[in-house]
Amino acid sequence: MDLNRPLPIHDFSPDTLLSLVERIESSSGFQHFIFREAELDDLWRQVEHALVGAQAGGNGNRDAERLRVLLECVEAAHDLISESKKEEALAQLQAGIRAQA
Amino acid sequence: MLNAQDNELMCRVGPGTPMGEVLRRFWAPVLLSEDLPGPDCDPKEVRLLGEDFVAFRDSNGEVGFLEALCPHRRAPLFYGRNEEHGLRCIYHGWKFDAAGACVDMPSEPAQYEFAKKVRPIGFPTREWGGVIWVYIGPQDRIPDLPQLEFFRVPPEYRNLVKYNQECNFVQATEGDIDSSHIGFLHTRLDQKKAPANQEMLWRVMDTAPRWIIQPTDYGVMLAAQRNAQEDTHYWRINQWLMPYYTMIASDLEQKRGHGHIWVPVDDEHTDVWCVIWSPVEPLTQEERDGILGGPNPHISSLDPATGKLRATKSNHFLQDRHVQRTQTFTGILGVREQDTAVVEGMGAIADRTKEHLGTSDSAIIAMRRYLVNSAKAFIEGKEPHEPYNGDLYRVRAWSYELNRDIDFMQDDKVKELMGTMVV
Repeated sequence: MDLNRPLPIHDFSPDTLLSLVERIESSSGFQHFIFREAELDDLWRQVEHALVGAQAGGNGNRDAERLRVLLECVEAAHDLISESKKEEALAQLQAGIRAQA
Repeated sequence: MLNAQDNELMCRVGPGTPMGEVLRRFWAPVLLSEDLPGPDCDPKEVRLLGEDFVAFRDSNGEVGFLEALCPHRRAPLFYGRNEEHGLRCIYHGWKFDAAGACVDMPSEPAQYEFAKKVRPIGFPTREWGGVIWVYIGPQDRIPDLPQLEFFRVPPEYRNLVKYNQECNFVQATEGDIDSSHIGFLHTRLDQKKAPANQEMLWRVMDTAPRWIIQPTDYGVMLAAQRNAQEDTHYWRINQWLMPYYTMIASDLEQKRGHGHIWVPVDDEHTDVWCVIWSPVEPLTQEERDGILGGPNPHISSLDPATGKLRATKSNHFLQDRHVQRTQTFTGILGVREQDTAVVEGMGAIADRTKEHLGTSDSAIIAMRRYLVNSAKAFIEGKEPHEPYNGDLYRVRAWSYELNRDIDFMQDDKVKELMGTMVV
């Protein structure tokens, strides 16, 4: 696991979310957290895009609600990791994973 | 992405704001020495961190930096008479010396000694490196001047140009540490076919550099690694130094440096200082002329009368669509005009809650984080350390071709390149 580079984020599947959890767990120090923030930025962008699509495409309130919760969790994790609050960021991301189940 | 609260915290610079207070702990460059050309010359209006001041040079050549308004009836001192060791308000004749003490009050009977009872309205100043510096922070905590290389070289080794930009200082600064944009915004269309030099070719051939982002005692060191030869990487090292200095990677021979200072005038305006210098030799006249003129100027449209660019948002930065189709990526003439077009176009203060950062924006994330952390630490009662350690600023920005197998952070050549060449 190379923590000194941002991981390309291709989706927000459970596997991707779990890999981000692992990367945050293993991270320490300024540079690691900058790159984790960049990864969460990338994730946030994709979830937001999906949420907008779900709301516009009429995919059903359940999908949109699930994505809205995930987006909130990712945004919170992003802001927390930017303050080097690793445990709190992990808790948010894990809450997002649970909301997808 | 940056949340709205952090964006506000980072960008607001007025009196009493956390970032404004952090910034007030540093010496600020406000004028070129030549802007006050001689004793008793015309005063200059200066706006800094959302506050207004007047600068003047007294009969001894000493620089005074005063609150803009006379403490008597709040008349602008800028209109004052600069004469006989002080600046005299044209309204009632109150006179202030370079330290800001009221030394004459002809409108009041002498026996009341009112002049002695008026609090001084001046701030500490220094002249160094061709620049007038001022300090408007707590007077019991005077900081060091930042020992940047470009202020320590002889005057003929350095060129300084200043202009005013209509946006917040953070987004103005961000353009300088975003190394990936140089492969687009500042390129000619024929650069891949006919690159001006080897470096240019590497830049346009590898437009997605890998980053090392290293926090330091002075700010952030930003190393961009691009592919060069089969067994080498082309490294460009930029520096961002608290609170608003940037140094752009030099040429491969380390003979020319290039940097900017992004001094916040207020929340929505920035004074941009462009610095070109050599650590080893005087700049040529051709180089100096090429900064403001020639086929590829650094600044193409500076109006010396206003200190602003003639190319503005209202005239679309004089963009030439034909040139954009046939010659350059933007069709805008001038490196600064190209940068200004994009950063001013974001709005006076960019809404960072709506942006979508990519991995190439990690350096920007790092700088923002450093600034936000400084403001948050200040709220918790922690003073910034950088203003009181001027020697932290003795670092360089550089570029070099290095073997692919080096350990960048441990390599001896890297360590040598990182230090300033001028003692």
